[in-house]
Amino acid sequence: MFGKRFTRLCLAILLATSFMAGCSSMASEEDTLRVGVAFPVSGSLAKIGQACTNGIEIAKDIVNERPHAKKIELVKVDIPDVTSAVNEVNRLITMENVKTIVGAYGSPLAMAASEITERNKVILWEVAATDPRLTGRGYRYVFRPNPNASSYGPASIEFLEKVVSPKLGKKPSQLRIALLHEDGDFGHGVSKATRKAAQKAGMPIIGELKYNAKTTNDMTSIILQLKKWNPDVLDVVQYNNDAQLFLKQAKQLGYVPKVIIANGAGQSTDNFGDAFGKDADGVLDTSSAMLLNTHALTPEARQINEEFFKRFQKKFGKKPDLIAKVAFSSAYILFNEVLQKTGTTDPEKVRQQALSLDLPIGSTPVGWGIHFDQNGQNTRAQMTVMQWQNGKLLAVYPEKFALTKPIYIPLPKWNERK
Amino acid sequence: MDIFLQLLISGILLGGVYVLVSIGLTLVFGVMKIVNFAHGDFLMLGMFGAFFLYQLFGLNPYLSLLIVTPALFILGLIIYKTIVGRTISRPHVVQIFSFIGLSVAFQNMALVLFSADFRSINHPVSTKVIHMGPIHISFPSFIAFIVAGIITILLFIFLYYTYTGKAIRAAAQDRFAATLMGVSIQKIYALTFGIGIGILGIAGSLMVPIYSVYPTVGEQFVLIAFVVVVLGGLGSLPGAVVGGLLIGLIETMSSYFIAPSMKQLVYFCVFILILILRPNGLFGKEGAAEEALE
Amino acid sequence: MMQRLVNSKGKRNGLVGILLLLVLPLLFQDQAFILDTMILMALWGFVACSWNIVGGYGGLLSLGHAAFFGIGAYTSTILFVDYWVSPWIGMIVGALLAGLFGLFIGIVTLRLHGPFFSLCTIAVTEVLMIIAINWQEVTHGSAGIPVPYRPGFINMVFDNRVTYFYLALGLLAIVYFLSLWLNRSHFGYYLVGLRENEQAALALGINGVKVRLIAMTISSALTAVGGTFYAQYVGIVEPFHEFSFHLSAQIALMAIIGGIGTAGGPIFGAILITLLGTLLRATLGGAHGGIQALVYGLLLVIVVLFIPQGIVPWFKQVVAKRKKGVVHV
Repeated sequence: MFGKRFTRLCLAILLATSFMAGCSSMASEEDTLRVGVAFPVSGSLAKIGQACTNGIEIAKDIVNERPHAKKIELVKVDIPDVTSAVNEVNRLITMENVKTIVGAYGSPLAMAASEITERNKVILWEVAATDPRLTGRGYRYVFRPNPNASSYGPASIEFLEKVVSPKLGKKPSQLRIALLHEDGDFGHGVSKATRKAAQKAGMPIIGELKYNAKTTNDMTSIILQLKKWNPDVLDVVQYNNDAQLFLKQAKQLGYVPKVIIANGAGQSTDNFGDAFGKDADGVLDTSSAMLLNTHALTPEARQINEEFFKRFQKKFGKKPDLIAKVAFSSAYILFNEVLQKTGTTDPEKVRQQALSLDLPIGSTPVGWGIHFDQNGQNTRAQMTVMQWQNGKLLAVYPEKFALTKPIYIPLPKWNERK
Repeated sequence: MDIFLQLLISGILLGGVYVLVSIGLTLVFGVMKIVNFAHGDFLMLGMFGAFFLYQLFGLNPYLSLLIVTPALFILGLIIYKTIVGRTISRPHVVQIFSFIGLSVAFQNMALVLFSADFRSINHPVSTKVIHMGPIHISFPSFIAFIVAGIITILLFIFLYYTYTGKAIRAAAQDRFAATLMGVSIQKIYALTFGIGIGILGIAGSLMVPIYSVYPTVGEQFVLIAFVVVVLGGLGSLPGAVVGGLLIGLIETMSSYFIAPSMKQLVYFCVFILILILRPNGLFGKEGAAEEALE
Repeated sequence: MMQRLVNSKGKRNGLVGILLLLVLPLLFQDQAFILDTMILMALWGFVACSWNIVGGYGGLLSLGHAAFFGIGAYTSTILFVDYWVSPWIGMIVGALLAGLFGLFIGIVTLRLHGPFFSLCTIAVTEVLMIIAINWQEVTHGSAGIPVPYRPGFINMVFDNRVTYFYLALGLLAIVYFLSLWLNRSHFGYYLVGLRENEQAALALGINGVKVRLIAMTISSALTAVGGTFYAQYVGIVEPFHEFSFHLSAQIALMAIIGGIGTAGGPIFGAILITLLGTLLRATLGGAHGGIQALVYGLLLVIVVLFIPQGIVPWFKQVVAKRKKGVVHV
């Protein structure tokens, strides 16, 4: 019953485990600061995972090239799905002896990774995931400089209230909003908060449509539904391919609301601008700031903002995405404001230093300040409303960040453009 | 009423795209009885081909069709010779998983070579519209629809009025009898596979003005292609046409009248029902589903 | 029995093997990575063996087993998070639900064979994914459900990873012995007979419907148990993974690579695939995104083409040829 096959099975397991035991590298903690970098750089999340990793690289380069810098060494792993996230984070902690990890972008990836980091008392420095629950569990070692999903809505609504309403000559209670979003956790999370904020401001939400970004090949029915509802404002949460399909088909069907305001993701990438050129002009996007009035930033932030764009173009041969800048800003805070000050990646010291940070709004290239609450969420993750103008994503609100005034409120009919 | 008409037109046009994507699959599935899970990824390669020809040489996608199609045809032949040919008389397990492996390989090869960016061609034709009263007809979708029809007719003529075409149909009906009749199965299968993939070259070029191109774009279409093929009936050209149009209509209508998030549910349920009640599909031969797969 | 065990050499080896397996994790207590990989291997081995009942012995290539995995994961987690029911009970409930669903699917697909069966299972799983995303009141929608970290036996959350390993090992043992039983029982013969030549089997009076349905039910119930374990171990369930084609394909793949239709094959396949994944990610992962998956895909094609019967039977053949004997695969 057990026989040879079974024995061979056990031998195989033994071999496997001893092999893995060999796959370790113990670097001395003294000379370099080893920081894990865990993002999905393959699979369907690859574009953003790679952008994040690239942004973090630049942060490392800048910090390492400063005189008297304690060198930071990045240990990169690929976590395309939850199982590999668990596996790789474990590997980083036990085999690579890493005590601080920057990750993870995908919310389920971040949630799974944080389970492990928290249990092992290792720092997880999140740069992009937006699930509010990540910093809602009272975990001590999770830090998230970027805003979570509930920040987008209020920022968009404020902009609509303060800027759009007057421009359209309507009272906020007359501004009819429709929500269109992809059905993933980002779409849901942002829309939920938007709805709440709209209710508080007295703005009516006249309808909500959701769809699956990966499998929607035609948005005619959605556009026809929107035509019927005829909202003043269309608030969208879309990923890349659907953002492009939507705008394309909206143009073909001759549909344009007075205002299109997006929430990061699809409308924040260079792909969007490249795909539409001038047709993208006027589309608003609430997120962390891409191109903003750098005089609103602290001098240091201004300087590294410039350096970031220059170096990114030089090292990777293309312009950076917003998400790369977000990851850069997050990582820079970790590398410069925390690690250089503590001189070690020891989680307790990192935690203390992170909690002690009190940087005003405008201290990072994306406009955030830094002040973590007890759960690790940055409470000064300032949102910026931007607008596509001439192929660039420019900040238009709040005033001090604005590079320019918003145009095209209301948006012109498609055949009246140019 | 206007809305209904617009939905109808858009649904049919979407169906046209689906027909284009599915014709190759029904041919391959119907003749060779293999499930090509990499079908969507060949489409992706075709789309990238057309995209890069546009970006690097400014070649209009409707012209690059003439380059991408033979390129994919040859790719199909190569893949057949190296991989698919070896799976023919093997158990389904081998076929299915070699295609899955191929799919993973293609997607990641595209990821490594072309990066994960979502690209669109910024050509005026992408948003060109034909106006018929209150109805807007997307020009690129319209072209895709017309070409789908032309391809179907051409393929039909090929299969029914040429010797090679008849050989292909013979191989589909009964592999061994065909061999006895002097048909070289390996050659016919290679040709069929090549044609099936070549058609994806046409589809890819025509779809580039409509959809964004990225390494995993195949996933958007592959399952639908299978639904269409099963709905229409394995190996049946009219089936692929009717199936494609039907699915396009069902998708658009249910998206509007039920909810956009539910449209997939609707056509998958249709799919499952067809499999249970009439696995041979609308136009398939009786017993094809049971006996077919030897 | 002990006498027989100790006397026979093969069985002695087996005992040593078991002891090793039990002791090994204790040696690696602090090595979370190794332990984690071992746990994953055991878990996937368990799920692959469960799949094997229907896919290997039964010959029905299900590419939708994620449906049952997801039902298990979601049931126990929903009951735990929303209703404070211990995951142990949730596991049983999940298995029951999945078993019933498996029965239903089995009935619905009775007439289907080969690729049609596979396609149907794929569609079913997609439908479940859409339901999980949209039925927000029950499943919490696309955000998924995190499993709260409250260590304790009742909660099936263990501070010490080794416990997870033993649990997974236990489950694996159950399904392994079940497969061994299938190798020699009447039921197993009927099942394999149906796979090899359905018409002949039916002509011999085997109740094809009953056999097929029982196999589906058992396989799905067991797979669901794997889902519960996964949820408790990883700490988050969400529809895009739990009901994904990728997961279904991975489960089937492990059984196929290891040796479809053999008792130990899927375990071997699980070990191999898990190791391969880990290795590729460790060496090629951080580099240019996608290379390790590319290599993985190519390897898959090569293995499937050249060793279609699976590694374990192939290995036995090689060994037998060495000894110039005959081997029954």
